[in-house]
Amino acid sequence: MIRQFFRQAWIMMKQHRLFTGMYLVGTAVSIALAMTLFIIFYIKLGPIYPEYNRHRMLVIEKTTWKISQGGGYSKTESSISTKFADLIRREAKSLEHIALLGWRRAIISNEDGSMSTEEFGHETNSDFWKVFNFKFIDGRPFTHEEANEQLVIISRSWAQKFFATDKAAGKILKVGRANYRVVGVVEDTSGCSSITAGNYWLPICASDKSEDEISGSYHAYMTSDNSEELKKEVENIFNRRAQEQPKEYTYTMDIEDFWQKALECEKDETPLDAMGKYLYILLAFLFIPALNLSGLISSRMDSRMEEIGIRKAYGATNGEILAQVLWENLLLTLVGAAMGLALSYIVVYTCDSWITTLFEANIYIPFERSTDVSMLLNPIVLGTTVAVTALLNVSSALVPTMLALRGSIVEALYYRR
Amino acid sequence: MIAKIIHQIWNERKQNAWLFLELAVASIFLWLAIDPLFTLVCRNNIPKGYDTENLHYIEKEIYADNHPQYHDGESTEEYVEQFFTNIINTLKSLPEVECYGIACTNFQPNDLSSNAGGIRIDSIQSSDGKEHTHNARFYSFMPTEGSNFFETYRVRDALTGEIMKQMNGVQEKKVYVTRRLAMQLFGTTDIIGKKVIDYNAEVEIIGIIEDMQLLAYDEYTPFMLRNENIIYDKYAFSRQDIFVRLKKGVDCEAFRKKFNSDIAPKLRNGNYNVKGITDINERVKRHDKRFGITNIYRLYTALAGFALFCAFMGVFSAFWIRTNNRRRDIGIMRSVGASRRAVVRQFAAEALILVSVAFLVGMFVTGHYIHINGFAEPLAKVPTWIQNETPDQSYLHNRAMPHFAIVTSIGYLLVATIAVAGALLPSMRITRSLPADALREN
Repeated sequence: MIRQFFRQAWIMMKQHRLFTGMYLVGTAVSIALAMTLFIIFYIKLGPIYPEYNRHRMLVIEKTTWKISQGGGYSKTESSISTKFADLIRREAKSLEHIALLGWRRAIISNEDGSMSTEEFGHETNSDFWKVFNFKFIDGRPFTHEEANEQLVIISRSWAQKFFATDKAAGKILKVGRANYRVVGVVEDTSGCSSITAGNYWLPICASDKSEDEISGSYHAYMTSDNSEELKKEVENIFNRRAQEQPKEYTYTMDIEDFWQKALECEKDETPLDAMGKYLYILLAFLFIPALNLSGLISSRMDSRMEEIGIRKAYGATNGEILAQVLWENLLLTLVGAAMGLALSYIVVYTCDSWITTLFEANIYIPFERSTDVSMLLNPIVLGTTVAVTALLNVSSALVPTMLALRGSIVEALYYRR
Repeated sequence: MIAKIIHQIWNERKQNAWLFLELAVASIFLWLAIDPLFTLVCRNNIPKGYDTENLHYIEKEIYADNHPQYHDGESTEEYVEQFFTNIINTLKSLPEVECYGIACTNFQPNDLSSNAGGIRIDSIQSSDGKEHTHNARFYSFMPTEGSNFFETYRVRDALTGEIMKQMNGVQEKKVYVTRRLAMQLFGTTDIIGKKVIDYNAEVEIIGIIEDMQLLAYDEYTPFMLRNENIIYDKYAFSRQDIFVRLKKGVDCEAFRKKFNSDIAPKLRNGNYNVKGITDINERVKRHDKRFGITNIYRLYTALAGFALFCAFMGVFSAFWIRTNNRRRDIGIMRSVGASRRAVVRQFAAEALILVSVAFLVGMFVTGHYIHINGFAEPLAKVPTWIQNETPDQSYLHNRAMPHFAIVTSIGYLLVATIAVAGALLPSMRITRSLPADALREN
């Protein structure tokens, strides 16, 4: 039966080329825009290399300390210190790992100085390699015991650039004026990986640091199977430590889930609040074209009223005719959806350097954003396309068809007269 | 004619109901998509109050102690002073340079890093006998001998309309304010010699400068301009920039190439280096990208484009198919003597009436929405220290009725054009065939 519906739909597609063309273009653009939006948010929030733990990650990027002085105060914003991170590691029972990350700009050159580049890199601790799942092409991550050594981990493209090989472990790179030994080479990251994008990583202890008990210059990324519990534990540790500071110092800390950071949420904003501002765009991308398609289907139902009357006269129920129209329509929607998905891939892939930043108020990451196949062709994206297509199909065809089926057989047969 | 058309529309009310709903929704959607774009375009087109043509700045860099080029002991204040002196002497010797000025690094369009705070006027100075505080940004320039900041940026005197005259040397405790700040503080621009409290110090106003749009999301940010000495300390690099205006007719690109390759390397002094000379508009573009302003333009342009596309697809195709479905009507009209022109005119008029009524309904809903939520503020989320307190009512886009009327007119024109085209094109095609053909084809 369904095969027959599809056959009939195919013949009608060929007969009514204008209708088919308009329907396909409308569907394709709608799906393309909805899927582009979805892919942008998937890249922002979903598990992408090497940030596969985003769904179970807590982030501390900001602490504030205020010093009261003679009626006024001065306020300083910073991140956390390694001392405070150690305290969390010791005391928070729900904590799995705590990665620290600081930025560092340095001139990197090869040993003889014939090639050099100035770029932002990261200072990290050994947990960083457990929180973020980098793929090591050569060598290994540095360990906690190696924190005082001058080691560096570089990306594959830098291994190629400086040493013309992926197997660069053991070779020497100059960071500033000091020699650093390459201990590992990792697969390249994209600027879309908002935390980990970079080309070189140094152990934190290899750099100078002057820290206090809480504030420092490192962002913290913590993994746990119980984020809520960990949040409470870290807040308790923080409050206790803050109270131990001199009276004139007031400390505050922002601890948030990864999605809150990614969506630049206000404090206490729920996921619905955070996504609500984007939801209207998604609805517009689907609802407006669905209404347009409904209009087209409604017009076509008018010209098919005699056919509906005849089918009813020969015993077809409203349900059967409704199913026929929906199946017929699905064929068109599927073709449009395939075109739309392909279009969304083209849009995201060709404009990835800026389109992935589209909903960001501040663009700090100084690395080129690029997308790869795993960000575009994955079960979540494909599954969502199918769901959106089905939604668009039903929402555009259901109402006009049901309205057309309301009348009697005679009304349907004499509709045009 | 009109009565006949309304009668016709009413007779086909069932078929027209969808169309009507579609038109109303398309009108609302299109209006809401045009509104932010309209605000952005209007804001972008107000007079800037400065001139960035041929305006450049010197990009400097300082070698940190981990830099391979770093030399111990060459970061002292003497090195900083000599470095600035080298640059200035070089600029004076270049025939392509019209003038140069020195100002705080953030005195650049769309640079959001800035000082801001309250400026107070006491009860004696104020017109209503009460103490007032107004928020403003603070900028500063360094009037060194030979430099001319006002000329370089083409900052105008609000009272004369001419380029503001730069006094020789630093005028202690004297400041310039913008026209808007003057109006906010005193309600007049006739305030030369009046005093205000800047933090805790009393300063005298010595000039009113014409409003400048330094921030794309705002109109004219009120600001105070201080004049200060250059301080050659370790913060000199992050505190002050050298701005350069090239003479009219100079090939800027060739000059930049020459400067960057031949001149800049010679200006290095100790751990201080000139990276090159950069067009100020390049830096504006960088700021726009960094602070998401470029993205806001892209997003709203894309949304408006999508809305227009939807309106086109929905309205155009609906009218096209509706007209095609009425081939038999056209055949009958033609066979009883209606001219081609009359038929086409009737279909166009039907489209126009349907659009007008649907648009009216759509605007009723939109008006209600605007009444509750206000007009779009597309740049409201851009991080800022201070935003303009009172939008200038002399601009049409800041007045509710003209704003609504302009956006509505644009939306109506677009929808009406699409609808009329959707009805005209097929009706013209059908009327070209013989009445009998039109009847048979149905």
